[in-house]
Amino acid sequence: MDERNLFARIQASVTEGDAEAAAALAREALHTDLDPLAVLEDGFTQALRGVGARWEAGDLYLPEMILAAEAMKAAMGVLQPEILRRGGSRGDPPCCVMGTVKGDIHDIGKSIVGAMLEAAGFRVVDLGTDVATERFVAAVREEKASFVGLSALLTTTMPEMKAIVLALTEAGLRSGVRVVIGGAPVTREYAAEIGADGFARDGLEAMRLFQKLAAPASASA
Amino acid sequence: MAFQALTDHERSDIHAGALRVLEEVGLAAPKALVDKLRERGVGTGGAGERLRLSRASIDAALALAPGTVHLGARGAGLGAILDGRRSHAATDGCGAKVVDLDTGNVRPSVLADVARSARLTDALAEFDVYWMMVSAQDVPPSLRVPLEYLTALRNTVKHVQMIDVTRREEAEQLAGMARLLNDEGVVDGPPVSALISVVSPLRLDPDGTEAALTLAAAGLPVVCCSMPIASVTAPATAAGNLLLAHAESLAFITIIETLHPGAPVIYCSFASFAEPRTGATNYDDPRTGWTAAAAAELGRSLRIPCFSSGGLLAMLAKPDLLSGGGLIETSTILAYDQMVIDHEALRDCRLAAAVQEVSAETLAEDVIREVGPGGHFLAQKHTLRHMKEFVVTKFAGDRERASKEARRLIESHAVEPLAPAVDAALEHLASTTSSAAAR
Repeated sequence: MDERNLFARIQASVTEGDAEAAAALAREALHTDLDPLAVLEDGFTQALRGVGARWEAGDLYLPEMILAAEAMKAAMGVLQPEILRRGGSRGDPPCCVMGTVKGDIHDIGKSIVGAMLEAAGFRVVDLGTDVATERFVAAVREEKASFVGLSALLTTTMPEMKAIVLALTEAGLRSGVRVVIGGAPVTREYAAEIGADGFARDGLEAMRLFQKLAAPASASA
Repeated sequence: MAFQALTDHERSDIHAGALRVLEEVGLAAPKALVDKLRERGVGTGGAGERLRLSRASIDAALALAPGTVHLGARGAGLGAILDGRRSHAATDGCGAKVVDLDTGNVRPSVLADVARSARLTDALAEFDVYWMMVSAQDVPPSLRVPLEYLTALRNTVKHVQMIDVTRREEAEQLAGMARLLNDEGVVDGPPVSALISVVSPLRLDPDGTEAALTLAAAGLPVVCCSMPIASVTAPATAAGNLLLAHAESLAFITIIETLHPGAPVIYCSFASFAEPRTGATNYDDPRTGWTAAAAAELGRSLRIPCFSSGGLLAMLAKPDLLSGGGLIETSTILAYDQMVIDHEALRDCRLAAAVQEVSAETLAEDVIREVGPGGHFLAQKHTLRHMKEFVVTKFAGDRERASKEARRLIESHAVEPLAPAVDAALEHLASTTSSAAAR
């Protein structure tokens, strides 16, 4: 087996956003002597980082980025069980619980940010839309999440964000999570007002903010 | 001026495609609604929360929808008759922020901004309809819609169209206020209408749909809107985007007409495009104009009133309603100076779309003969007669001047007040939160 050729094909599958090819290459890798963790990290993750960098630089369009992330996920679905079986671990990626607040069924903004975060190496638990406050609290507890992403498109549903921040505080979970909010009517000032940790206007801004908040240096910020 | 975005064949293809999508794919809808429609023989195949609509049920619904819709107004002669003969311009909406007139800073919108923007709309003649331009975030959410409506009503005698009606209770409050305005003879015809949107792709907002049905039951016009974004919530192509929007608006109309036959509805397709790197809506995409015109043509072909986004190409397609501006940053921020600038652009757009008369008077051979070689036309009576057809651009590119004009109009424009007893009765209805308030 030509290892370099395999990694080049892995790179191409992610860059081209070909989920089928990515999964097939992951299966192919499992039949070699290669460590599946190394295939994931040095192959797929590395390729996705490259795509992410080009997207951040404005050289790629959003669908290219989303499809690359989908390809990475498809490969991970094949490799992850084998990594776990061999007692390996990707480390502990930060978990983000995301959802659109109660009374609001708009999900595209939240879904784009979720895909971006997955591409950036986060584990994303997407609760969907019209999510009750208590479900956010329960998910943060169950998933041991360190991030919460809240979306609202309506000014009438924005107050739900404040209720969630309060509920997290009352549940004793607030100090362990960073809360980031977004949606057309949401502002930086509103984030500050309700005690959220940040606000993002779009997927790119959200990804940068989450990465900044996840960086070790930000822990003391 | 003759202009056609879609050939008849292309328009038929889009319509036929939309019908296939509705029959084969359908919409996600609340189960109770799907059941209720099935009782009336509408909705085929599948189970649970998927609503598939047959061509026959859509045709039947379109046959029930009125061809003319009246948008009532307080001002004499200011109501909008949507009968295919004139394109009425609404302001833009619904923002959550405002560029403050005093500080120039962007801040959350409040009820006073509804008052100011409605008053400015009243003063600017090219705007026919006040769309709720911003959300009043300084009042409790349960009172927001009725108080926004009352505030707009106090500040403009033009028709008010709400955008953010998302609950049945809000629709009931509006219906109660509308009834009072009709009973008191303040407004002839529906004093308020609302734009309610399908969530693309192919999903009905349960609360918004219930609100729409409540309004329809009260005889208040509902704009059955679809706002897909190409490449994000719709196919990446303009035609595919139009097809999806067409299907969504048709489905919404079918639901309303099935449950409330003859209710006034307005077809509305606001198909837009995404900024390709972020996925955010991009109203500056160059294909927007053609798409808006094509949407208007699709709407007109249904022979019911239609609403599309503004711009010259859309104006040429003659929708009954079009959105006329005043908001910036993808319709999220109200800017008073922008209202003045867009109002002027709207005037120019109307003039650009108008057919110029060709007659003995306008060909002006006699005048050319009289002036002869050299000379000038400035001293001609013919010139004087036609000078009024020229326009002066005052505000484009001059934000400071536009801002001053906005301030001047907001401060000086007088709006006929509501009779004190009517005002008090409306205030009572608007500030009572329970559905009982709407009787």
